[in-house]
Amino acid sequence: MAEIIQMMALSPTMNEGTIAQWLVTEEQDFKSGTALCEVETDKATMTYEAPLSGRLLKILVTAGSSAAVGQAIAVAGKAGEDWKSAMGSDTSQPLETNPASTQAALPELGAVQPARAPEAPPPAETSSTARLPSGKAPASPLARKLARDTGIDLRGLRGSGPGGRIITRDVQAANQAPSAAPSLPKAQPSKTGTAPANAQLRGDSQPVSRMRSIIAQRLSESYRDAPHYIVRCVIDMERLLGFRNTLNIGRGEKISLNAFVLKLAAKALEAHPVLNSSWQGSSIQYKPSADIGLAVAVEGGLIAPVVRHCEQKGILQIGHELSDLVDRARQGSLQPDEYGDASFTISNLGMSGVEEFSAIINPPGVAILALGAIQDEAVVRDKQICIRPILHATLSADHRAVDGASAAAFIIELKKLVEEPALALL
Amino acid sequence: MKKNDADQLWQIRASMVLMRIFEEKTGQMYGLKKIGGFCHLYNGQEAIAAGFAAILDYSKDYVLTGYRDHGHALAAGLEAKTIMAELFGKVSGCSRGKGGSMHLFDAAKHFLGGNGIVGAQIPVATGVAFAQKYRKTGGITVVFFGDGAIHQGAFHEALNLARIWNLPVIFVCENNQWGMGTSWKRVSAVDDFSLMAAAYGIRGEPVDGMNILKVKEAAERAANEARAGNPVLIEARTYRYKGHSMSDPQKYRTREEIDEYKKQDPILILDDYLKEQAIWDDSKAASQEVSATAITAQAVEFAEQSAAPAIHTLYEDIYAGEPFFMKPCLSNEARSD
Amino acid sequence: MAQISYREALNRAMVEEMKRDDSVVLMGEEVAEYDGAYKVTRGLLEKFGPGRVIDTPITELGFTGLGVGAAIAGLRPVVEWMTHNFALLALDQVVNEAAKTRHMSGGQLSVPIVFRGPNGPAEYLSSQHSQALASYWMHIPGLKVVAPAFPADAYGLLKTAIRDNDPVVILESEMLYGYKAEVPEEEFLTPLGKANILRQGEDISLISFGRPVHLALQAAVLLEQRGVQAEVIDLRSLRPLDEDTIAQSVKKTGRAVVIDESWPAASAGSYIAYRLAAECFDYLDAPVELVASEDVPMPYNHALELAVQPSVDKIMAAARRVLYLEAAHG
Repeated sequence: MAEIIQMMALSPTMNEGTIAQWLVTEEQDFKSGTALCEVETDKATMTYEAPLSGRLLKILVTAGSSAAVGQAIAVAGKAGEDWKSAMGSDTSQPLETNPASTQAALPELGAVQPARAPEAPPPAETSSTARLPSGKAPASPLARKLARDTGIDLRGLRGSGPGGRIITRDVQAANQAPSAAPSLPKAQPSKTGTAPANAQLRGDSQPVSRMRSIIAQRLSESYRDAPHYIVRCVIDMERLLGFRNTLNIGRGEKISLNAFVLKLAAKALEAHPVLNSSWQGSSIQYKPSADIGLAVAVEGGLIAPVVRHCEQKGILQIGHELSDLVDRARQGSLQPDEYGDASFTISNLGMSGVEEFSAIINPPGVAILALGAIQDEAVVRDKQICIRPILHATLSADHRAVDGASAAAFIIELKKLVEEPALALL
Repeated sequence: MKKNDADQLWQIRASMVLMRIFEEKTGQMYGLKKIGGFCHLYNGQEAIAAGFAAILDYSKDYVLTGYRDHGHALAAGLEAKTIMAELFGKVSGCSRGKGGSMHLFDAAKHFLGGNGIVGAQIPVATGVAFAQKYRKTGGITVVFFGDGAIHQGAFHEALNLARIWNLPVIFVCENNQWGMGTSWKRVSAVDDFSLMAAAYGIRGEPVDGMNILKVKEAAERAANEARAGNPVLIEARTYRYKGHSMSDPQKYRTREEIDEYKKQDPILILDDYLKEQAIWDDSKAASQEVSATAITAQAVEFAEQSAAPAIHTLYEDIYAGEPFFMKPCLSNEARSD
Repeated sequence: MAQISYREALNRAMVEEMKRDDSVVLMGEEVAEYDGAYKVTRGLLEKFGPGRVIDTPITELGFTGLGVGAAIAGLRPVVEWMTHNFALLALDQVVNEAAKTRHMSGGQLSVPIVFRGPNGPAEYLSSQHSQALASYWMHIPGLKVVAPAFPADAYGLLKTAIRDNDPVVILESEMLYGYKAEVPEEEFLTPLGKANILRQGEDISLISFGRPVHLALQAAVLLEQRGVQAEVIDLRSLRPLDEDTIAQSVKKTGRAVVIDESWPAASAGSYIAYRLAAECFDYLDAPVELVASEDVPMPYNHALELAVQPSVDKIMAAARRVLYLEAAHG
């Protein structure tokens, strides 16, 4: 009876092959081991040797076509046989190949599922055993176990082990002197005066909010995928502060310093467009406008409203838009198009008093500028020590798109503009 | 020719035809992904396994070989179905699905396996011969290996040991001329491997490995000497038709070279001899092919229908008696505690 | 009860087993006419003849493989490696043949063979002859591995190993060959896979095998002088490993120092430390300490070579750390 000839895996990883050419023609006899055809596999062109002897009755997959492993490519049999007789019994089907990797697509940031009504929280544990915070106090496992078993709160103990590790003898000592060893059920007075709401969080676990999870996802992705590096510079703010004071004289709504920085950054981005781009894997997309986001801390997270087309707008307009966006960000009433797709981002923690910090790039941008507090510092000008208001600026950039030289050129450009705002007029 | 001799030649032919058809089916099953991993086919070399099998006394003799072991397993009398089931990784396989193509074993049939490390079986076989001599069983051990193995230290160490202790062992180098993709001539200091025996004071003999009659004669001679405590080295010059393994694109040799060797096909040579001797029989020959095809088809069916080994069997066959394992590797399910 | 040396204990075990079972043969370099490179096989040739006590050429791969084949074919060979350093030449035969044959044959074949010889540092031998290679063997499923520290265990473990139906690697110690201790005169067997608690204690577990067991015992004496009761465990077997005994001890004491004369990476000691971290986590009052050889090849100079190896001082320092006997700002 005529027999189906199936495509075979000619390399261990082959799931499909293309017939490069048939070496035996229809109605030609061949012997087992004869080269029937050549098959292009995923690795090489391999010879397909006949697994049996007979006559090639019918070629089902012609040269240039491909067939999955297991698929019928020809029919062989004896002279005069009807090739179709084999087809009735054709149970040959392409072998199942590995399913294409079904990597779950990450949800788009703007399109998070609407928040479901929160499910009733599980009843709080009422176990009488002390629940220990998973906190940082280093303690040996045995000390923790002992504390659990005896109801000792490790937070009240001072560890005598290396690095302050609480070890068994510390817990035992606490047990022997109960008055000195605060046990958990008693509320601990807050030493630092933290708000009671925060104090209540100790030792609890809290479900993550939607905003928190988006932040977590976006920033993890950014930090993981974009090779971050930072460049720093120190900026003398004297002229810009003076300039701002002058402009604000008699003005009801003061122009914020951020508005100036956005404007000057837009100017610097014009000169260094790669900082105003987006990494697309196989291409770098240069953005048509400087759409600058400003990170704003809001309850439970942060958001970066975007002032579009900063390069075209004046400082007054930028300042006006910024103050509106920031207000609405804090109210939680921003529309998605008001915070998405920043081409560049600025994060200013100056109000919090930190001198400097570095930030994680806000996708799809390739750089973020982190600004610390403006503080008077002793600096050298014309070989004289003098006191100037100094800003520490830190630029994080994505090395896939931006090389160090470009980042440095940009931040120095910005420094020049801030130190001599009149240059922006050129 | 005596009838007995004629019968034996026909039996040998049946054995070679079965090896050939079994391997063709194996190649097909590999292509259909029923068989995985490294799979080395024996096509072209059948005369060597068949020639030795014809003269061995499997009640006391032993055979060891390398990883190109399907033909040798069939020659030693392993059933096609247990071999195919092993290739399929089934529990009904001759090694319970633990060994696969390279590690076919049958202790009862004195077939001590396919060995995956090039040349490593040679000292082991020499040790089997040591035990035979120690126990005065009268048996001999035949160890097969390829032209790639002959340069391993294991070969040279074993020949020396076999000679100094006069062990009943026959070393058979199946020189199929290609150590994977390397021509034997490129990596050998001599162009006649049988010469290597001289360094160890044992007799070496080259033989045409495509000619079953010559292989059988040489095997008989060697067996007689080995039984008397004189180890022998035989170089059987042969040719493998297939790639080194199933994933070998064979760019190192031409199709013409293969076709040239197929003209000296061991089965054809035997057929010609049978015709010369006027004991050829068309229908008998055809029936051998039909029978081998049927045996192979049944083997595939048996393998298909056999059960896969249960997962828990992975903890079996590692130690005698009470098994133990380093604990972190055990799943909770498999942990007995 | 007689005091005999570790060397004599091994010898006695082989004599008894060869008398008991004629399938036991001994082979190796210099084992017969020379009476053994370290005289462990002294007198065996005279007792059992050249058919059973066999000098081999210096071909570790060859005669180790030959032993494996003889074991497959029904004998019980004892293969002596002059040292474990040279066994590296035979690694293929042990790892790929001895350990795998039962498995690859689906359980049809057994390999009842013993590989034995001195392992670990001796003196003034530099880098190639003073290595502790326990983890090479302990790593391999299909092998059993023992490391006796005392004459009685050397005797009892070797006898059990010869009777075992699996390949057993014995890690002896050149430095212990002359060590004498009591060995009962009546015949006995020591089970594989059972640790021995040499000293009971509540405060700290000192866990070791082979020669450093003696260092652990000395450290325990020093600790006792400071009022610390150390439990000293001699593992005796590395594969199977007596995890129950060590876990029980550490759950009791909450502190463990593992002493292994091998290098620290991927060693028996680091594996044991990992097992303790996993099994005894809630019971540990300090991280498990590992006192290993320094991570360097052995130097020739004596002061250097001593500095490389575990010592009582190093064990004491580790013990002080886990006991928090030093200042808290560590």
